[in-house]
Amino acid sequence: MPKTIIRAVVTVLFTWVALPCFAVETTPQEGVQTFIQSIRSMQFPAQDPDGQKALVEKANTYLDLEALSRKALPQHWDNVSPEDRQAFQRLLGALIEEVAYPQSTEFMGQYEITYPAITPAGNGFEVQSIVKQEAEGLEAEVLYHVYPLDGSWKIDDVTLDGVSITEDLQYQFDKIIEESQFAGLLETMQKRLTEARAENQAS
Amino acid sequence: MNVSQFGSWNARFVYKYAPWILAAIVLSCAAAAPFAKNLKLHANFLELLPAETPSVVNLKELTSHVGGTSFLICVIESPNESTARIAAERLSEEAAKFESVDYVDNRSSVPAFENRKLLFLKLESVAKLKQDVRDILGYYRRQANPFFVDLLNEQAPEIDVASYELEQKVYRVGSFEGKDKKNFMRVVLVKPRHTIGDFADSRKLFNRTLATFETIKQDLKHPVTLGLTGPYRTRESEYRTLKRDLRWTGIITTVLLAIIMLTAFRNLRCLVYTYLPLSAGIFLTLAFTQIAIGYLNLITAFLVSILLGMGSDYTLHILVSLENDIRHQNGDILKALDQTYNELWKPLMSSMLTTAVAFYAMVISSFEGFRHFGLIAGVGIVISFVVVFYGLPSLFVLGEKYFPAKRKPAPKPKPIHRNGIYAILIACALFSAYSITQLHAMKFNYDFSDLQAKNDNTIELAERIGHYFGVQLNPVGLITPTRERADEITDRINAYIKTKPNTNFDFATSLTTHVPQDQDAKIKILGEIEALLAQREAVIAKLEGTDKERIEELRAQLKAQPLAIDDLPAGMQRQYEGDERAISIVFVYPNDRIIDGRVTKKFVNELRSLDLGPDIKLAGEAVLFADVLSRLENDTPVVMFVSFLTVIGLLFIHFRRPDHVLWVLAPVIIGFLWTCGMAGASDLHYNFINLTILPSILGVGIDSGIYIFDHYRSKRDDNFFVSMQKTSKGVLLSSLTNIAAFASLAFAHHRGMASLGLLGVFGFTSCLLASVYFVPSLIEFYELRTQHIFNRTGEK
Repeated sequence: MPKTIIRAVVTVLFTWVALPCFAVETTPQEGVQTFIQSIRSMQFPAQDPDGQKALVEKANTYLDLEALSRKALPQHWDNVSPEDRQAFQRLLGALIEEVAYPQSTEFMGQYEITYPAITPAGNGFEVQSIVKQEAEGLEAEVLYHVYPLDGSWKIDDVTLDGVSITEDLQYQFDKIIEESQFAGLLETMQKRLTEARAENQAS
Repeated sequence: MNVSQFGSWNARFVYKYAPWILAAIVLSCAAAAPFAKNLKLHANFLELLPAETPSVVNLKELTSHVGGTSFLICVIESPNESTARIAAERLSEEAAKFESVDYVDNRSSVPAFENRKLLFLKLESVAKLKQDVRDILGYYRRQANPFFVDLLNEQAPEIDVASYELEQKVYRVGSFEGKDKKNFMRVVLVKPRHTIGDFADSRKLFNRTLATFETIKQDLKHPVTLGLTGPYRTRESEYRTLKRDLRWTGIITTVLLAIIMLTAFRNLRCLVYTYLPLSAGIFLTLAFTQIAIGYLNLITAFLVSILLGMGSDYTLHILVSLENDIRHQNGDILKALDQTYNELWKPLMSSMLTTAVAFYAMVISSFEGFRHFGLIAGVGIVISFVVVFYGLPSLFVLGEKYFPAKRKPAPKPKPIHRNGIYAILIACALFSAYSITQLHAMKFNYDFSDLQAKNDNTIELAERIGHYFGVQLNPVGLITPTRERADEITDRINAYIKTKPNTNFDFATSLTTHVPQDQDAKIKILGEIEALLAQREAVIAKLEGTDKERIEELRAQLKAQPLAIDDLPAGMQRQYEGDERAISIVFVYPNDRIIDGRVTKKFVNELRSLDLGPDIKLAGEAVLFADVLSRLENDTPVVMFVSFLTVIGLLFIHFRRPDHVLWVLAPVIIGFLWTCGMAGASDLHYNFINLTILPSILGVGIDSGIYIFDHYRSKRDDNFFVSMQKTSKGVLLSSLTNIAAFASLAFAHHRGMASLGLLGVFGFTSCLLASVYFVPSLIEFYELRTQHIFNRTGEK
């Protein structure tokens, strides 16, 4: 009971105090909604390249790539040179655009999405969303970890079925680095990116 | 009456009392009929050893407690795993209802094991299963996450059942599915109420099982087959084959003999003269067998054919002589009888004695196969001799009195030209040289599967089970007094196996072996797997096809409860401890084909060498096989040596000179050499069945030498081949009849009997050629070169 009250107070305080600092979205939920809407509006293949580009850029503004990268490479990030970090983030961002966004568009489709709860978590909030996939008779719970940064909401983790995307990425990255070092990881990411671009162009 | 008058005395006796002699023979047969009628065939290895042999006693004890180690093994195969399992379950249910079935052990579908299958894995494998489940869930979770970027291009991991190890090898038998190239296999063990020797009941059970399975098949979508194997099936199959072969070889032998006789004598009455006394002799022999022993075994089963051939020796010599003598005596029956008896009684008696002694020598063997064969054949030869010696001439007297035959004059004997003699010698020398090169090829075939019926797939099926499950299904049972002692012995043997890489043992099991170890730890891990699955319901819900099926099947196994020894199926408990629980059996499984006698011997000897304690008894068919083989190997040289010595002794009594004895033995020695040559050329090996014919070859081979040399040394100045041509007709015909009897066996479906027939053909043919051509040519060669070997004192 005390915890619930504290959460409620913090949420209210944040809503009244912090939200006015955000020019467009005032709540974490709205931030996530805008992010999701941007993705849902994307078309693969793109009918309107300029429009698509704008949507991608808009969605990207909600992603904290550096935070994502740190979380996905906890054991390696501090040992990697700044140049490699930049290369990694660039490649990760490109892969998210070429692979994750098309997958997400398909995943969410035109399903109804609800946002039953927002919970304080760490330095931000966990926004719970439910994707009602009626055709499969399933409801997928997707949790977005969002926090405020430079006047906007940033997403640094997405959790599906109890496991975060950074954990899944970490599993892969650790495996590749163990076999072929960080350079091998960058090479693999580049290769995957090339394949994804070719697939997207072909379709 | 002195010895020299014995022949004439017999001639007068037969001439005067022919009808009475025949009446006495008929009455004897009538008295013997009830006994001969009840003679049974026991196609059981148990009967080949003395009843007091420990391996026989122990197997009977094992049988009395747990019904033995024998089952009817039903093998169900299908390309579809579910079909194989359902068919096995339904067959088990139906078979358990048969009145003739005691219980059914369906290793693939035991209710007590149904939801506990994972407990039978090694602890490490259960832990691996948990990791595999984690990997699968992780893979699908990643694939389901839209924000996941796959850099590894992962393939979906699988739950690979084959990668998990069972805690005990014995669990392999039907308990878990597996796939061999094309088919899934399930094994159902059916324990009949009747004993293994009850072939009529076994046949009914097989037919009912097959018919029931046909009904079950109709409801199943996928193809499924049933094969029957196991000791009940193999013994019944062997029995049926033997009976069929007995019938057909008897008919073929009779027909061949008739053809030979008709060709030689060109009248039908010769068949009457031959078959009536012979049949009477064999009939009386069978009655004797029933009184003395009570049954025929696997070895003695074919004595009728053998006695027909060998007993016809006497009929042929007498008949040839009578036919010849009655021509020379111008139809005077008494004179013909007198001449025949005087010429033949001594060589016939010697021949009968040498043959009988050669067989009797087998009686000293502890191998019942040899002992019974020797006793029955030895007595049978004597009986046949007496009946033919008096019966045939009596028939002849009556036949000539009331139905005198017209006969053509006998052809003049012709000598063989000198060049012919040289040609024979060269050919025989060359074949002798070839035969020497084949001596090394004559080996003993220990593989019992080569002695089974042709086209009999029961053993092949049993071996396929062994390959499929990696277990040879022919264990030896160790009878122990208590369960604790059984566990102690099991642990000791399994520990021994780990230290001996070259051991013949695969593993040992007791009842306790079937209770898995480390159950608490395994159940804990299964609980963790269940929790993992519960966490990932959303992922599992999205799975499809075989992945989803596997997970669902796995879930059914995750709530396993501990299995105690009392939870084991009643059938399994009875297999190990019987109904009274007075003993507890340890089964020791071999790691190689037990059907190969060499493996059997090594396996059993190694088991005996462990010195497990005086309270432990070895029991099982493998132990019987090993003992049969040991006795065979030990007794055969002794029997052959004793036969040979006794025969030589008798020959000395007859011929009184060592050089004459050697010449009489020469055809046999050369004959045995040529037998090896023929056998080597046709890839025929000795085995425990055809070895029994060697004393027969020895005895009958010597007969030829006795007849020929006895006749030759009693004539002066005759060329050997000229003097031989009267006697050689008898020798030739008698050898041909023996060859015919064995040739019919060579076509038997039972391969053991067929090998006996083939070896007999080679042996008798070799002795015939040696005695009729080679040795006489050798003698004539020396005669031509001025050496007179024989001081012949008889008439010209």
